[in-house]
Amino acid sequence: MTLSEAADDRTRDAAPARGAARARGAAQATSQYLGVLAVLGLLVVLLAVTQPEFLTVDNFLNIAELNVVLLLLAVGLTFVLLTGGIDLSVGSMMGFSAIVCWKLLGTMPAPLAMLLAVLVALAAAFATNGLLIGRAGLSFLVVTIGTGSLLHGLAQIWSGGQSQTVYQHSFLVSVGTKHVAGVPVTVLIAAGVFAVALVVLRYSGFGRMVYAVGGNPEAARLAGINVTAVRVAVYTLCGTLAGLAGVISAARITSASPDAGIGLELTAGAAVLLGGTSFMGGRGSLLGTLLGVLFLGVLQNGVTLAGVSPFWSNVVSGAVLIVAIGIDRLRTGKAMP
Amino acid sequence: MTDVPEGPPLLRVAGAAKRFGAVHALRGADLVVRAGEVVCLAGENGSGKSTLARIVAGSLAPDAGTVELDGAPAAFGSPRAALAAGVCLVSQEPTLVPGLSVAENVLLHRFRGPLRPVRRSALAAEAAPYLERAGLRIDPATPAGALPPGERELVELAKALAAGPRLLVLDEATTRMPDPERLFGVVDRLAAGGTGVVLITHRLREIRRACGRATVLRDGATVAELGPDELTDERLSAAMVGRDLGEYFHKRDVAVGEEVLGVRDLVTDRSPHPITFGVRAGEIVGLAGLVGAGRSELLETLAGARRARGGGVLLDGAPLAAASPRAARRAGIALVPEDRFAQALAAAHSIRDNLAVPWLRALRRTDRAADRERAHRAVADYRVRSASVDAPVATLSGGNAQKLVLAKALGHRPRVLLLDEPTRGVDIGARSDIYELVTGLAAEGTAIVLASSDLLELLGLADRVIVLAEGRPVGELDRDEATEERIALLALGGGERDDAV
Repeated sequence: MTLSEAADDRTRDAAPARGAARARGAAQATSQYLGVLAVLGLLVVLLAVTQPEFLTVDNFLNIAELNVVLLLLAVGLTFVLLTGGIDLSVGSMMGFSAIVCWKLLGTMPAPLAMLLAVLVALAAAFATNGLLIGRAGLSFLVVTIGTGSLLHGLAQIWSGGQSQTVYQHSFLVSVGTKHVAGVPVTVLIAAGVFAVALVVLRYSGFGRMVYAVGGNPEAARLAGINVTAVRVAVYTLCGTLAGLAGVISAARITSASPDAGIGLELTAGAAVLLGGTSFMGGRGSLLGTLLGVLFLGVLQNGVTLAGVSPFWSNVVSGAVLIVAIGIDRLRTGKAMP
Repeated sequence: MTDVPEGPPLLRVAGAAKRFGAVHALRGADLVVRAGEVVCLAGENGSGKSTLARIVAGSLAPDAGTVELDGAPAAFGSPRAALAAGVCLVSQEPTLVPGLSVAENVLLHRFRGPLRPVRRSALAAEAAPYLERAGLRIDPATPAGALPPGERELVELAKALAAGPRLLVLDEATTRMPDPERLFGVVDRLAAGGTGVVLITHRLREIRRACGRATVLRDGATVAELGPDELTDERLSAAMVGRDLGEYFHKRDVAVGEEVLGVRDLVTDRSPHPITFGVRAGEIVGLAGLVGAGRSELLETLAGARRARGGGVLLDGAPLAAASPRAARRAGIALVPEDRFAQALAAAHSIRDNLAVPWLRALRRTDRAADRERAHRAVADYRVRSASVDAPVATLSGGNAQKLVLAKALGHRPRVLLLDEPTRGVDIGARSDIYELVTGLAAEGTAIVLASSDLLELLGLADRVIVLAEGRPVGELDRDEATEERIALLALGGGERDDAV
């Protein structure tokens, strides 16, 4: 029996406290994304009143489908931000994996090509961001900017800088366009990934280690946590999800482009921060990230429905992000001297 | 108080109070300084000396109390306003900009507008006399980052001199200085020229050498004013500690057992000198030495947080290859590191989450009920005063945070406990609790290594004291032969006889 099992035995009789504890824990976690929840609610009410098409199942499925890629990137980035880092290469990784997938499609069946493309993304993220940041301890800003440029360049070389059509590969196209029980397959995939990530982050030892490393890396190290392994793992996970996002985006628009995700790293980062995850690491949640992505998605949708210039959505989301960070500062500024 | 110079007070602080979250850093501190006088502000770590210094220098606003300069209210809103009034602070933390030259650093406060051109040659000429007065002969164009630590301190002093201070506050300025006498020479000349000087230090020898008078703080309040005839070790330490050693320590006679921790020719990454000693079950071995003597490095090496360059560690007689904190922890070695918030706790996380960290396993489900139960038990067992186990540890006072660090280190019932400055910045009540805990652990057979700058603490708790100087073991004193004087003499390299603390 290990020491932690012994401790578990000693504390088994703590069950009565469980319900109250859970309620309090939930209340505490909610406060971090209360801001975006309020603004999202406001937006939904506003659109429901002014836009008759807004409150329809089709429109909601449409919003979900349009934001699958953003959610996948944001989930990966949440892990990275929680450790106190950021990954600016996820946009490039998308284009990279899309082009890798297109290359592989010429030589093998589509399911295998798609799987291999994601695995290539995993290996690339592990070998670059993972090892250089996690193991060698280099600056995450510099490394991920470098990796992003490198992957984007490789994708451009292999594709000749052009979008490459993949419409002839029926399996790929069906993943991107088919519905199951009325729900797009891509939405189901993203929902599955989100659910697994949520469970891992909340209920696994690894998930809590991510928080511990972000909260204080030195304290985590002295407490016996393998900080290197945790950092390598989050950058690898983030790159892998970006690779999956690249393949899915190619499937959705039936074309693989080296530029598929350029700029999306910042949108996804904004979604994570909107969801209350701290840029300093150690604080945040995937539910918040989901709300952040939903807010950006609903905002974009509303702007389209209302026929306003789509550029306004950038102005609004930027302003909301800054206000949210300001509120967060006021809130935590009081808690921490 | 016979020889206090007459005249209007240059500085008068009355009833200054300051709170940081739940921590009362100051609760009613008074300080009077006259022109041409050198006053010592003495007190233990955490007694509020630095907070008071920062209030005087305008970098903190007091919650209550008054600050008067020349009898007029002087609530400086910023360090710049204080500087303009001639109040200058040399703070404990280094403030030099490493990328700027020495001259630019010395004259930093004179850079007013971003559009004023800066001529490097003129700067060097302007800075030279201040460097000269601080006793530093270096090229003013040298980048500040290239200087050794001792010289950086003198540049800080030159920087203060360049401000033309009427009141100079030196906060632990001698800690990193190889030759404090140089500093005292400058201080004497300044005082002779009518400047009031506040010297913050806890080294009794320096107080006697440089100061005419001492104001003693304890737990954030002024508790004593000592005149020139009263500056004795006994009076000062009694005022600083506030009670007798007898009621402070609870050392019990423990039958020591077999050697648990064996350190054999261990070479740390900081100094080339091998260290050998053993700690038996139930024994408390003290590590004494000045800042930078290598105590923390030794403990961190034993805890696997630093790589050893040579030698080895035995646990129960068997070689231990603790190449990581993880391996050391598994083997039963726990470290309470020197800096609570930098090395042991995540300030924004709750008590519960902080205590859960050592128990995490990557591939295992977390048990929140167990985490919660563990936190409740620790709060009760270690007498941590907190509203809730969900409160961020940043809201705890220093003493309560330190108890939490102990709870975290002791969760796995270690056989060897390494304590690095376990009571620094901890209030008296919590200190007493911690001493009781440590002696209790020894009585249960834990082998304990205690590194501390607090000699009273070492003398009160340790069975033996090993003294380090510049990374080298320079002596070992048994309980019967250890005195403050002998430890201090060894720590200072066995040199000047007058060095008795």
